Amino acid sequence: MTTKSNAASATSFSRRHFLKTSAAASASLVIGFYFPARAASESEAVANFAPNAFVEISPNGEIRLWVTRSEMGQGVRTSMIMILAEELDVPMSGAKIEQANFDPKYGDMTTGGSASVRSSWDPLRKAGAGARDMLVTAAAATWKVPKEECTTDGTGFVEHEKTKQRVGYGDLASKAAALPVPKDPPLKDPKDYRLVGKKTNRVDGAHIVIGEAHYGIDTKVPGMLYAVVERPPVPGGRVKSFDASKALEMTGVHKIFEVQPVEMSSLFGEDRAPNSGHQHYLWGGVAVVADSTWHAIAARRALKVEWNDGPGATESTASHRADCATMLKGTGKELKKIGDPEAALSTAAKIIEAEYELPFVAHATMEPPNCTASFSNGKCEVWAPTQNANGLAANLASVLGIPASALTIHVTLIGGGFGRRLNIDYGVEAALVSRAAEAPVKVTWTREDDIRHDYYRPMSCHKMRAGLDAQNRVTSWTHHIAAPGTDTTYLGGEIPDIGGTEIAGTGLPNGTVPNYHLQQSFLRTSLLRGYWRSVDMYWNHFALQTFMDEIAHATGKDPLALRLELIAVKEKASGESDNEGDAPVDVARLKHVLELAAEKSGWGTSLPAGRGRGIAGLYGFGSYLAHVAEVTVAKDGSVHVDRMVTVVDCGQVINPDMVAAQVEGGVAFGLTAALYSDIVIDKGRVQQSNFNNYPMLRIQDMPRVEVHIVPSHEAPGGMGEPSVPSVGPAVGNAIFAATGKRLRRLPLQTQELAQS
Amino acid sequence: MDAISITVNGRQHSVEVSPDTPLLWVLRDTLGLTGTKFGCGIALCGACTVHINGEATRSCVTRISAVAGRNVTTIEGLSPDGTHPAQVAWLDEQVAQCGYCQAGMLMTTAALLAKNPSPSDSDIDDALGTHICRCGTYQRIRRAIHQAAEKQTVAKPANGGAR
Repeated sequence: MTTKSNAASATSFSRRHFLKTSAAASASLVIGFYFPARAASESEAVANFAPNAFVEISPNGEIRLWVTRSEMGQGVRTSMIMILAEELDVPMSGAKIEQANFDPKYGDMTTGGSASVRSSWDPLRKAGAGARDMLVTAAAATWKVPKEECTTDGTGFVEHEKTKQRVGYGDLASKAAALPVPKDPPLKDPKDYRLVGKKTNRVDGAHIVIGEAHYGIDTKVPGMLYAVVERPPVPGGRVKSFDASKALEMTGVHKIFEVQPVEMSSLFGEDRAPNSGHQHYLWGGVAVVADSTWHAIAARRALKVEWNDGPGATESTASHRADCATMLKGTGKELKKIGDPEAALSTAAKIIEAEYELPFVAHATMEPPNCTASFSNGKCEVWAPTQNANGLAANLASVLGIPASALTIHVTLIGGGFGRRLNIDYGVEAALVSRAAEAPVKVTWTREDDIRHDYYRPMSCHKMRAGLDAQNRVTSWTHHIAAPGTDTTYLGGEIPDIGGTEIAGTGLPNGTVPNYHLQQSFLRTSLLRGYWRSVDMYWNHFALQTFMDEIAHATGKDPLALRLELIAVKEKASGESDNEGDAPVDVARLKHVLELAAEKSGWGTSLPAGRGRGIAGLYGFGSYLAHVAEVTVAKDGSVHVDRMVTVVDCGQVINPDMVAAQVEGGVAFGLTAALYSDIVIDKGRVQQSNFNNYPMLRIQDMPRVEVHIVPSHEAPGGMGEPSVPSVGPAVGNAIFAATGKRLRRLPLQTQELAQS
Repeated sequence: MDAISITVNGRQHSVEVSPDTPLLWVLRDTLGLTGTKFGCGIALCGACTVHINGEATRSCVTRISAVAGRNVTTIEGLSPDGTHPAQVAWLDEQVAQCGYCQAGMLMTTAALLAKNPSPSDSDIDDALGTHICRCGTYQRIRRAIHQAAEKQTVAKPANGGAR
């Protein structure tokens, strides 16, 4: 599947490894998901027809379809149901759409890696088609006509044209339920699609505009109390002592108590070595439980906590930068080597070198972390805005010491995920608070809690070198990354473990240059790191695609032409995947999105002074995507991105409007990180706290995003993440085109552009 | 803790909370009107925007004591049946992604349109520029506001009809 030998050691697992496993397992998963129809064993006179975990049709004609991934704005409730409804051949409006609670029968419910549609495409098509096939079989048997002559009409009826007979799915439910589930039902020809590939409105839209969409934070259960938790200011810190006397006198306060630190199991059920040095703990703190969120917040202000800060208190952004700079002067762990890059550099006609740097950044989901939990009598029920129901279940069971069967996890609508909610800390914390409070409790994180206690996208520093021959061809390429791991937070270990999720996005020109070297050094930090929309592709692509631009300008080549020259070396499907588990890169598709983006953006045409265009493109998460950014740089150095032309080839499109929405959103997300996001550490403490010092892109700074989708019936690619990583380099490259100044550090240090 | 009387979406309520409680938490925790969202707590993101006597106001920094005797409108009361021109346009343009910030966006938009029936792009920037949508739905918000303005103008002629 992949030739990337150093990506992950045999004993280490990673988010990507996990996704790869689940993707590879999708074929057998289908069979796993099918269970015998209930009526077959229960011999009820009137039975619902439930041939698999996703579809249920009752004799009264009600069709219920289950969404088994988490909706956080990316549209899975709509796209997954579109796929099911397409093959079941019913209209979206004719089905009741249900969010599935956590249940092992659904298999993998994790929502990450832009994988929901990709990994569900086959299972959901087969689930819908299998059910439809059984209904048709039941109708044919009823009418005593050949099955091949029966059709479905797209509205939930089976028809037999010759005898002019027609029957609704509900009337067939009992009979269909007694039939064997087909293992390989026939799937629709894409030309017959009624839903897939067509603009379809979001199923939650109508509720959202009237304020009736219920997110995790909107949960209210009988007898529920409200809590906030004061957490250690330095990660790894512990409560030394606390004085709650004043806080307990505040209005509405019920209880104030310490939440003890607990060790959590790994995030996705992977094994980890004992004493691995992982940092996956709930650090604990002091919980304030009251009769309203505000009363809890107000009382917390009157609480006095003394902390043991622990070793993290000596860290700062300055120390992290100095550590990375030192490591980049030496050698790192070798992750990949082709040819003899050092020898090639020593004989190169020209050497180009540059260093790039990205900071720690927070997720800042608009709905802050929160969870409602009710623990009593050895059972725990939670209402969780989570992307990771499976991981939450495993961790709740291990931390609470109860079996999985004693858990009920309601997966709520989520007000933005971006990877933050793959973490299960806030869910475990809520359960512990409920247990101690002896009541159902909703724990809400304030924005300050969120910004200061995130699992941050790690900082990274990159040293790049390219050797060119006399004809300005790139003959060697070296890339040294200094960064802390992401997986290491959860699994421990150092370099051997972190390769897996730190080097995606280094795929090209890896393999197109005869001499190549990729190495990595490990930055130690007590700061927790986590998956953040597009993960390592963001940092590696910033370095890689900016460096490509630098090489182009240093050799007098057009940046698009240099890219095409580099990728032309590879034959179709001969390359590596940028993301372990994905299909190998198809350079023809990559070339096409780059060329089309150039064409649609007017690449090569002149712009007025102070304006410029930059290009960047990638293959990732199964999709191909290129951005051309157009920027204006004012005399004071301020940058406005005027326009972003994006071409995407994500294979078979399920809902084109949602593909466009994901591109628009990815551009805004990538731009926020490129222009503003900067988590700064001093004495181990995060210095940012809210949107005043951790700003977000706002409407006046949003570029005009023009999305062009390449028609395709290839397997669907992911769309949540691939629009994010190329934004930073496209904008940085456009700034260079406008000003001749190269910005190599994120957030882009635009003050350096001011004209004196 | 005295009872404070407030009117929300045309209904009177008497609530017993400490007088410094922000309106946001009274709406959400006491009255169960959860359409108004908590985003930042310090008036920086706009997710908590409601109307107080028709003015778009950040409920997270508005003490309940300051609201006594005034009319509060939340997203749940913006229109009786979800057909405010902004709500219709929001669906038509498929604005929402996660949707969490959109109640605030809609409330500010409704207040903007009430004062300025055909806002320019820069009027929109001024009114919505203090809101945050982390999903990046801004270009659809802009389109939806223009569309709502057009719909509103068609529904209510500017000269008030023939009279």
